[in-house]
Amino acid sequence: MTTTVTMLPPEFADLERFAEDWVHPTETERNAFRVKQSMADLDDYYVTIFPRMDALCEYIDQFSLDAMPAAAVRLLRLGQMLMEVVPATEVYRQPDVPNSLDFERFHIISPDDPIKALEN
Amino acid sequence: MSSAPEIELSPEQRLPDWANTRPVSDRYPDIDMGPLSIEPYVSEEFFELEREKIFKKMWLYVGRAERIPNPGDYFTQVIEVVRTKKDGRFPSFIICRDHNGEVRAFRNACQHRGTTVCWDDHENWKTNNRKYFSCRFHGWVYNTDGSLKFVPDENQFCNLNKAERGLSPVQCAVWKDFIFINVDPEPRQTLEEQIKPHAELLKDFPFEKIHKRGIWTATVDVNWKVAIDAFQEGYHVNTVHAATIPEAFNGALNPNCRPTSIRLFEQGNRSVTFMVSPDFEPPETEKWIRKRGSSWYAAGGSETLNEFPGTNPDNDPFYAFDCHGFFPNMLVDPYIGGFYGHEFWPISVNKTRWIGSINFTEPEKPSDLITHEHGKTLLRDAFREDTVTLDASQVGLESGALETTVLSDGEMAPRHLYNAVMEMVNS
Repeated sequence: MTTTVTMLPPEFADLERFAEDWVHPTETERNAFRVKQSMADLDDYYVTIFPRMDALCEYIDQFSLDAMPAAAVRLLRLGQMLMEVVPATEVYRQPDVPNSLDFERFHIISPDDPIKALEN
Repeated sequence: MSSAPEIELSPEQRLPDWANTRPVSDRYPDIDMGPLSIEPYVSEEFFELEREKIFKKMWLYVGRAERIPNPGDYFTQVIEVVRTKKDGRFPSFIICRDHNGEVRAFRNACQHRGTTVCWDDHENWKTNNRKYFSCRFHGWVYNTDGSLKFVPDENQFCNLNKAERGLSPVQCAVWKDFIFINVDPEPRQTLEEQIKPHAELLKDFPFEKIHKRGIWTATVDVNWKVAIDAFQEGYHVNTVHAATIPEAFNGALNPNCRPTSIRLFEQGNRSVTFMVSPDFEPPETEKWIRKRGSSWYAAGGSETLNEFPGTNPDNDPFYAFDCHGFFPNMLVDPYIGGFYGHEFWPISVNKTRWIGSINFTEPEKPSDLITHEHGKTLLRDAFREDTVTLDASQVGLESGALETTVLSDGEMAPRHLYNAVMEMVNS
């Protein structure tokens, strides 16, 4: 008998398909990922994740910032990825900001989030 | 004596009428509102005078105390504009917290033969910690208070007085966790005197409890003053930010995004306030965010956060954010829930290193990091729109196409910055 390894808690099985590729720990990586997606994929992400955000927040807020289990951290990153995606899907309707300074010159040097993931 | 009953005015009635008036210049009748020569934006000679008379004489913000919370913590900062020679190399500074917990600043140069001591990338936000600073060239070791602790093979030196060869200290002062340095060994003013109008206004603003979460940087081919001007008026919002924030700041009441308040202070300091459009219908996510915290311009639109003291000078019900210009090269922009800001580091007359950042109150729970990410992304996208205009501005200014610029009433902050720089350069 084989068991499937899941990356998210069972109550978020509907989001599991995003867990492999859409989880990124930093703003730089989330942004780099977002600008390479198609609008269809960004829209798909938006319509799937947004309705689940209250439940997602309720789940991750069970934990304290300095002791988050890995699955909760992944949910947090998915929530942060939604924030990265919404300007594209809700406002300017293309993957990257039109008429803007390109990333060769515009550098993201944001600090890491103040969280501590629990080991394993 | 009884007073007449106060008439309840609607929010729209309480706001000033900008439709056909020029309220800012009316309040400052002594300011010449005519065209301005472009020389200060394009002249290399003028830039050298700015370096000598402004940047080498004033307190310059270099970082937040949160970067160095513990003894031995330090970061380095390169400050191109205070270099000794016009075409000289850019000096580096060490800003650290010594073993007694005091914030100090030193020139990042070994007192043996001048070599850089700390080689850390100054653009990296990571904080480093050392018990001692050790020069990798010959191994001289300094304490965190700058004193020279150890010289390898000391006997080979003749009459070396270690007490005189500590790291060269630089004047350093901290205001509400903003660390400033002054390369003038005898500053003509204290930090508090230099930033007095802002220090009074913002004395109760809880800067110490608000920390950096987003930082972005770009080196742009533009004069430092032109770069600052792009961020201290609302006139550009309809066009530059048509993609990211097309309807947040305009609307029927204020269609051209005029500031609701512009206050001019001495020594080039100034403060501008902006409102959100009362007609603004936020996108769905933003409505969701406002239930949990604030995006960076939520006006009366956060259900959980209040304005901090020192903001929203006119009690504007649609208050969005303030823009405080700390002369010479810093903007501090409080909003509901935090503050954002900018540093503009002049490199040459037509090159500037810009750093933009956003700061939030400390997250209490994991979902706060999601709320913060919304503000970070929105602001960052807007900054990418702002920064792309800058090179194009300088190209035009240097082209010979125009000898003067014309500034409107709502562009009084650029005019005030210009006038203050002229006054200091000509003094």
